[in-house]
Amino acid sequence: MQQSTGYPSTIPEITEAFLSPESLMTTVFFIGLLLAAILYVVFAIVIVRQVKIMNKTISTPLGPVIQLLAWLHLVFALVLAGGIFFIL
Amino acid sequence: MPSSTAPQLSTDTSTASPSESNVHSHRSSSAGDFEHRRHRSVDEYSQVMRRFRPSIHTLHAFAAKPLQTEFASQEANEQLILLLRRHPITQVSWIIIALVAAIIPTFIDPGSFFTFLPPNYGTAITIAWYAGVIAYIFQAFLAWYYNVYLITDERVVDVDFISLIYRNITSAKISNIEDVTSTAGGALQTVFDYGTVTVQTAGAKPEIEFEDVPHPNMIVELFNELLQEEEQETLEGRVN
Repeated sequence: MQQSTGYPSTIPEITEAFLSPESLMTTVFFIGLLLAAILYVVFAIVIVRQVKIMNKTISTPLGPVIQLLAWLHLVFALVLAGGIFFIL
Repeated sequence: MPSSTAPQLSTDTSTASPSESNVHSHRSSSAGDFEHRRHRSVDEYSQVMRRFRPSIHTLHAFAAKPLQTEFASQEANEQLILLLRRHPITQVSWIIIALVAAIIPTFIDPGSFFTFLPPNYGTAITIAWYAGVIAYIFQAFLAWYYNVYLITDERVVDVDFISLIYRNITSAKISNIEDVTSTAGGALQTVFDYGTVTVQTAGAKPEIEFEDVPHPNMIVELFNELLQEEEQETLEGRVN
């Protein structure tokens, strides 16, 4: 007797695994979250660029701190996007 | 970066105008004459600015003679007199929205709406929510912090950080200013002493607006003093 691998092997099992309403919703949410995370990374990159430009336009003592925060924000966005892609 | 207590001066003279190069040659011609015709410090002619010490607080909406602050096109000997931002009270709306948004997940669990999803999706949605809140706060703060109005002894500069992808920088010479008006209306503006200062100029952009800035009357007073000093400089033939 063949031992179960935990993965769907028969047609009904595959249908159940990928085409059930729950699976479809999970896939939709996964894609939605991933797209949101990618947009967030783009937003974080724009912030880093914009802060750099604004610090050149007006230089203040707080400028380097804001620049650092912008970079940390970008790292956070990348970690978030990676987490969604690899953990979910 | 300069760190003295005097108003900061840019060392970049690459943008100097032809008239400025004449000024340099004039300076070298006679040191004594230059002393006589020297560029006066703002405290020497402005009663408004004499009331304030040089500002070290970088988050002030009304920073008189800000220290360690420079802007890109600042010329040599150009004193930064005043840095203005919108009054902090005008920022309360986004702060309240951010606070409410930040505490929503503590009362409403997003996972409870999506019971058909695996449990880690609920956590992911909560983290995504907080990421959105962080982005909103960051963007709103940057829009406030970098949206500045600068008054120097030579120019008025309006740096508009309208959104993350759009910014606009306008400047006009003090000598081109034709009219300055301040508008303040409503209970909030009266109580917190803020309003809009409109500067009419003879330049390409006829109007520069300082929106929701603190102490609008004081700013108008300062402009009057700057205009008088500008006229005095022209009469006495002092360096610009």
